[in-house]
Amino acid sequence: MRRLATDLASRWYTPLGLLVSRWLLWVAIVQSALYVGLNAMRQELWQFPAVLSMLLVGAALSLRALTMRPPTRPQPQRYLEATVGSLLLAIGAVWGLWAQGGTDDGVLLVDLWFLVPPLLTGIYALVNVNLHRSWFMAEHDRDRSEAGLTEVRTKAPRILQVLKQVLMVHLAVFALLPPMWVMLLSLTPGNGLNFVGPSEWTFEHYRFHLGGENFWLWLRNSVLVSVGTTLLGLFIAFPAAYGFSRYRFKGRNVGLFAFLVVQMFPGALILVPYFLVMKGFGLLDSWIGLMLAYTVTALPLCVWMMKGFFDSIPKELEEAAIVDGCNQLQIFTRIMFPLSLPAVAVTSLFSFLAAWNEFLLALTFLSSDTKYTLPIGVTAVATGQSPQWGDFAAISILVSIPVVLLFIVFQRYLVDGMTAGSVKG
Amino acid sequence: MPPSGVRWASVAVLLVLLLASVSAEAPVPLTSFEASGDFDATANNVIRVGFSTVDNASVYEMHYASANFSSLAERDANLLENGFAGFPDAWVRVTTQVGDPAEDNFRTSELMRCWWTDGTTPSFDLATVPQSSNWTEANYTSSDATWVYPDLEGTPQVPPTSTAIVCDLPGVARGQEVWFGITPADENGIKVSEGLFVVSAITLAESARPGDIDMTPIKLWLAGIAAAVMLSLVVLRQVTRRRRDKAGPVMVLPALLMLALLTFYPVGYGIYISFTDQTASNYGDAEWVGLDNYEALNSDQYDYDGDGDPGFWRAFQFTLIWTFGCVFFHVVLGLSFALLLESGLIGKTAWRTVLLVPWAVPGYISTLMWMGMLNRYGVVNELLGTSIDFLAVDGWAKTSVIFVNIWLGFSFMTMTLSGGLQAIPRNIYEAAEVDGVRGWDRFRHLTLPMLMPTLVPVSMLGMIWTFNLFSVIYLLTGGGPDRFYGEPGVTDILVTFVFDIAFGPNGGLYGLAAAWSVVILVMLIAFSTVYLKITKGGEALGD
Repeated sequence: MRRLATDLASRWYTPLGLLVSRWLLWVAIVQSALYVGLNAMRQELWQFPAVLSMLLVGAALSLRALTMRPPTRPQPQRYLEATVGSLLLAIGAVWGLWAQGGTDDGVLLVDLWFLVPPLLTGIYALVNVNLHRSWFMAEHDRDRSEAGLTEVRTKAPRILQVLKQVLMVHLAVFALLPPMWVMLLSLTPGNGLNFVGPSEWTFEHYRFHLGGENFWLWLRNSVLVSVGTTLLGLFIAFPAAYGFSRYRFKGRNVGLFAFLVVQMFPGALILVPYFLVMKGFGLLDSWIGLMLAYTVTALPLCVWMMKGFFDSIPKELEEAAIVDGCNQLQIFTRIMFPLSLPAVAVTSLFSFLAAWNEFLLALTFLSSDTKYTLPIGVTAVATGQSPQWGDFAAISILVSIPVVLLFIVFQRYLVDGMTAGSVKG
Repeated sequence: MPPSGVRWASVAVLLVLLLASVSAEAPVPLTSFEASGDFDATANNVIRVGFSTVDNASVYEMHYASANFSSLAERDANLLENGFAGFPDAWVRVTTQVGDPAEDNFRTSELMRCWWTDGTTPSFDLATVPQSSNWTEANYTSSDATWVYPDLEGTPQVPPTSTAIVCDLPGVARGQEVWFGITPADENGIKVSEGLFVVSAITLAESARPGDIDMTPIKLWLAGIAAAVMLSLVVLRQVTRRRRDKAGPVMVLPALLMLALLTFYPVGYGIYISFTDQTASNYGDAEWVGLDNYEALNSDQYDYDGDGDPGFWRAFQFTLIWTFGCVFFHVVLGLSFALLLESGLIGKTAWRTVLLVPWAVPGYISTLMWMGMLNRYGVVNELLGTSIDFLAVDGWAKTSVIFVNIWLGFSFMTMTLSGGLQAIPRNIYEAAEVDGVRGWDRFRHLTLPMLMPTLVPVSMLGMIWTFNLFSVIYLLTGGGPDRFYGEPGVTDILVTFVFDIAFGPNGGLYGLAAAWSVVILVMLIAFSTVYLKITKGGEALGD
């Protein structure tokens, strides 16, 4: 029995070196394909046709050979393919670097990023050529297979973990590139598009905003509108959610459905009538008009979320309070509000952030720059005839940091909240 | 209080008089040339230019630039570097037969208006020119009727007897200093006067501002809200044991009222005005026009560039590409990253926080960041070693707006789906492990069906959000490139185009915009219904 197992194991055994080569080759093939794209963007596609085809063909050839099942008979042709593929990959990468070095641009970071991994992949495969030979030639050795299997079991997850971490670093760069750029730009003197090194950093853009008038004005407007929205929304949504949760009355389902459907209404599309209605109400270009608009936008979600929370609070508490002679206001302030504090906090946060970040309605409703909220103010800095990139970067950082911190602290609740209404539907 | 523009009154300045080579005929200088940006507090984005005529001129060429220039060659170089200051150059034709649609090779700026006088001593009191009786408005003609914007005519024509001409040049951004140069030319296009006269002017932001708004309705609303709050507190106090049973509808009422007043009423009103000819100029007395607006959506009436395509289907097509393209990548990337996060990654919490950032940064700020990075001289080009104007070339502009939105949205999808993955019970995986189900099979037959309850609503929400996402395209490209005066540009989606119709530079067509909105609303409802039907079916199959 044991013999059979080890025999089988040796036949199905793929050594660690091969597995790693496989993983690396997947990376190499993706990068080669992307490098073709990059060269097309540089309009130099035909400058390095040999390089690009070597990279692609090499990676594909190697990968095809290496992804076969463990051979039971010697496969010299596949062995040849794998080796030639690795060679092509390595030579192609070196050639690519050399050719790129000959252009006006020289070798940029991005070229290294595209070409070094294929190079390392090719070299790694060539270093392991003996391992490949014994595998492709089906030179099974039971003892070595057993040792190798143990090695795969213990080391493969670790190597995979390393690869995953490397991948995550790239994702992080992708996710953080614009914020990092803005961070550096905000410290760069002048209002150009390109940042400078730490030796020349300055805080002039931050001083410009913090010492100026506009930033504080916009901040005040945004805070007024956002806090107003949050309070008003809470004040209206709280009893409504309670009513929907605790009472069964005629039209209850219709009302609940209305709050659900409204979330599907595209904000941008009721813009024109919204604008005209607000004009009719005399509320254009005022923060109270914005506040009302934001409140009604956030209302459905607040009602649904708090209703869900109220449903989970036992009725007996209130019944006891009623017996003690509490009126409804006391029930709200003494019992329901303290008990539902988490839900209240999350819905408040949600309304606040929605109002804080809203762009379209503010753009449409506001016409005088003393009324601008931060989104419109920040946009005004970065657009127009002569964009002030440095000033934009600094104000972006000032506006974003509190919001990002809020997101990081409350991420789980926000994710749940954003999908709450829809999942129930 | 007088508009503060008066305080900032920009004085017209004669800047440069350049006499180049001296020809056989002595150059005839313009004796007077003035420009002003604050002649009228209601003038928006307009600069008024006045100049005296010269003999033998049959056309006056007016050149714009955003920086000073002393020759047309310098101006052109300037344009290449800095882009256009405002609208393209303009021409005024001098003809004996004013009003005749003469053979005309000039295309002048739309919305440009001119007045002429044949008084002996023309005065340039720019603020009163159109009102004063000495001045006559020019005729506007064009031989190329397809090009001309509806309601606007072509090149202004003035008679040879005129001694001075005043023109309103549109398309100037508020607060921006613009230089104008003028050269008179004869029939053959040869400059009559060698002089190129350049003046600068600024339309002041303040001059275009509306006055202080009426605070009364706002105070009334504030008082109303305060009263409502007090009233509801009082009502809640009154709800005691005996009246409690009937309190439900009362508590729900304020929320429903608000919803009715500020959502359902505007939607209904929008549907109503889509059947009227409501515009910004006839606000308040619109007439019922039936289905005219709906027919106009795809009619030649709005085919401004005369290519037989008013752009409805173009915008619709790109809306579909935009919506499905973005959401496809959101889901694919979000799912991959979520699987990666939940695959026993070390430092998961830290990585999760990093991937949260694109979602956490306010969307308009991210979009503006990318706008800077994708600039022709920006970081992206520098990193890649390319020199592509990502936001100004058709294909790249489309790719860029979609790419930026992918960056904006993948993060939320990752967070949501990784939450969904965590909700799948571990023991199911353990059972599958025992049965030897792993890899792709495990994903296809175990993870994906279990994830469906999260994936379906989230992807549908994503599609509705993306469909209606205004700020990304508005800020990145403004719907351009190739926005042809009222037609959708290359990257215009329906929502951004509706905004243009209603509030854009040539906008104010509220009825038409409302008709577009209704059409889009119907599409969205149809889409949501179909999508929910299909995916519900898929869910049942998956189980």
